[in-house]
Amino acid sequence: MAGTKCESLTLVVGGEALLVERAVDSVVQRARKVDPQTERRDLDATEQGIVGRIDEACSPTLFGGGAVVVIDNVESADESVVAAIVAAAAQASDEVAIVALHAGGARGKKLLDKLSQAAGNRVDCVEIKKGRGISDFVSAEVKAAKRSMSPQAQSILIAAVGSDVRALASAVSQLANDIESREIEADDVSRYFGGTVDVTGFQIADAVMNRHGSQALRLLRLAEGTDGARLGPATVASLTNSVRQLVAVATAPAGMSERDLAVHAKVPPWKLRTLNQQARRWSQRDLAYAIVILGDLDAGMKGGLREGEQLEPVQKGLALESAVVSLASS
Amino acid sequence: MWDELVGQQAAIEVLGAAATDAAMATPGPAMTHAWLMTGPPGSGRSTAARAFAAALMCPDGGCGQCADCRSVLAGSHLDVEVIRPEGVTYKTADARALVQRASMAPSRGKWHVLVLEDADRLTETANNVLLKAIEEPPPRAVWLLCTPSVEDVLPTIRSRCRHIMLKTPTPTDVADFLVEAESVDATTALFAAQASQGHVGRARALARDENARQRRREILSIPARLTDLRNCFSSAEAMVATAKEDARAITEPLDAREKEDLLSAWGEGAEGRGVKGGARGVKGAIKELEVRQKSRTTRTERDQLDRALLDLLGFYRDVLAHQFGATTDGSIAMINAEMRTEIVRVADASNTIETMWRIDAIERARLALDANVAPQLAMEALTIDLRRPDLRRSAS
Ligand SMILES: [Zn+2]
Repeated sequence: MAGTKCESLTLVVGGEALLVERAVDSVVQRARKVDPQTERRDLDATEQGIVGRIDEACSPTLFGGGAVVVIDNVESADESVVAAIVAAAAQASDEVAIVALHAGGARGKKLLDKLSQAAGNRVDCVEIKKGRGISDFVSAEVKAAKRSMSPQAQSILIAAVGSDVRALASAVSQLANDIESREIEADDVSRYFGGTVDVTGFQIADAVMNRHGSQALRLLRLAEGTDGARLGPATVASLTNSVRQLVAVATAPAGMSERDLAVHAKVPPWKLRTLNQQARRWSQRDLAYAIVILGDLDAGMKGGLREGEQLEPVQKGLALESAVVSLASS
Repeated sequence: MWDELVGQQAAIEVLGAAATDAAMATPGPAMTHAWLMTGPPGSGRSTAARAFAAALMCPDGGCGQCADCRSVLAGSHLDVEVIRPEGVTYKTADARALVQRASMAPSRGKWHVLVLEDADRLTETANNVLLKAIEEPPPRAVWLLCTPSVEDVLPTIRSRCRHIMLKTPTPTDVADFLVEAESVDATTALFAAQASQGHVGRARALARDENARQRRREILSIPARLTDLRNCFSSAEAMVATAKEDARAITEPLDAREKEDLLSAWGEGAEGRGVKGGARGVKGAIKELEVRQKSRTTRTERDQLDRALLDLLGFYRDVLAHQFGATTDGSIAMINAEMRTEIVRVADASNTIETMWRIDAIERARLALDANVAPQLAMEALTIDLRRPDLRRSAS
């Protein structure tokens, strides 16, 4: 039988768990396209009595219906097991597919050669190395999702998500799902995965300054889910900064040049337009009152002014919410 | 030696008697192992503690001249340890280390004195650690706990300490002291005594340091400057900047000296013991030192701001007194007599309720600093409250 390739046998080689899973899944999906009732049977090549179980799993069932038989840990199996796999593949009906998983590497090299000769399909799932390997992986994922992503966006993503391929894959798929334009921009990535407190606190402050109470509340709730403990002080700091910038713009002497105004407000010049727009929504009384509220809020977040004023975490969340809402809508 | 304790005759008598009894072969009943020194800031708690410690070390019961007296007052006596928290609170580990040190026998004298400044900053666990050592004191240990008020320490500790209560010295006491001990002219002495509101160290600084007087003038000019929102913000910013600058002037020389000491200590110890390990160790030690220094700087900044807030508080107390007519009939002397014109102007332009609200706002700002609220935010809220004391009441 040597030299004959069996289409029913797929050999998956390598240790990158995510890729191995995908390879197995794709075999299962293909089979189910033909027969939706196709069953997946998982076996371990090192367990006792495995030869008999392979025969059993690969034979047609009484009621018909296909099966995908997945055999793991082939690299550690006896030669007899590999022989049984090859034999089963040769005899298998059209309804049965066999997937043998070999970890690759030096271990079970002879077994691998034998299986390679017999297998009609081979998928390599080499472990993805840190650094270059990771960015190649992300590129491939983006391409598979029929999108493109700038190198800057990629590096933000990797910095935010880390080098776990599973997490990166799901991050890319989320971005591809949610973002409509073909190109995924750096901004999109930081909006989704720059989920650090600063970004969120800043966004909340922005919503408040624009007087979008409901958006501010929504963002706050969203952020609470990720980092409730650190959120309070960061949000207070962002809000305070925003109010200071508005005050600087709102109280600047008439006729001040753009450049001087930017220096005076301690903001980059491009931000002035936004600030001018926001400033129209705030009276000086509103701004003054905002600072008073923020002072009280900061104290509340940090343990209260007097003994017995300490807030429980839940109360802190509520205090933050009510301050944010009353600022945004006052 | 006791001269520095202005207007505290009663306390001096008790402590003097204790020192006399302490010197006897079997210490007499006026002496005890644990003391609680309370009094408002500036009344001389740590001065009293130091003077008492010197009296315990001195062969003559506190002559102020001998080597023992002088080294205690200079803070270098081996048997007198003055401890203050570098951060916001005493950590439990600090308390444990203290208790352990207290059990060591004195190296020179008869007593091992441990002065705990700011004992109100003991956490509850640190309090409990200390309690044991105070309940069953090592035979030679003397604890001196300093804190603003009796309520600041746990009742269990309070009940085991003998209590020395310092009071706020009167302006006359302070002025007399400045004239006699500091050779200040009578007018300046009276001004400084009034302006310090009973804080002796502050009075001395105001009497002798033009820079301190200038700072004070700047602070007291704030109420008149709060004419619009922009000025509220710029005044707040200036207050914080000044406090930072003044704090740096205090802590930077200390920081530099401590680092130098540390390096020279490691330089000697590390030699010949393998440079690598030494280098790593010294790096760690420097890092640790810098963390402590940073928290000290933060605390000093807050103290400087609090100083300014007390000046402002004095201003509005004068306003209130004037609104009640007490400064015209002479029943109350103005704290800031030199600012009379401004005070009268503010008093005439507002009512007593508004003044109370403003005083309230200053107290709130002080508490906010204590609660670690961002200093600039706290000062901004304050200046806004001072400008529009009705704002937080009319809203909502
Ligand atoms: Zn002496």
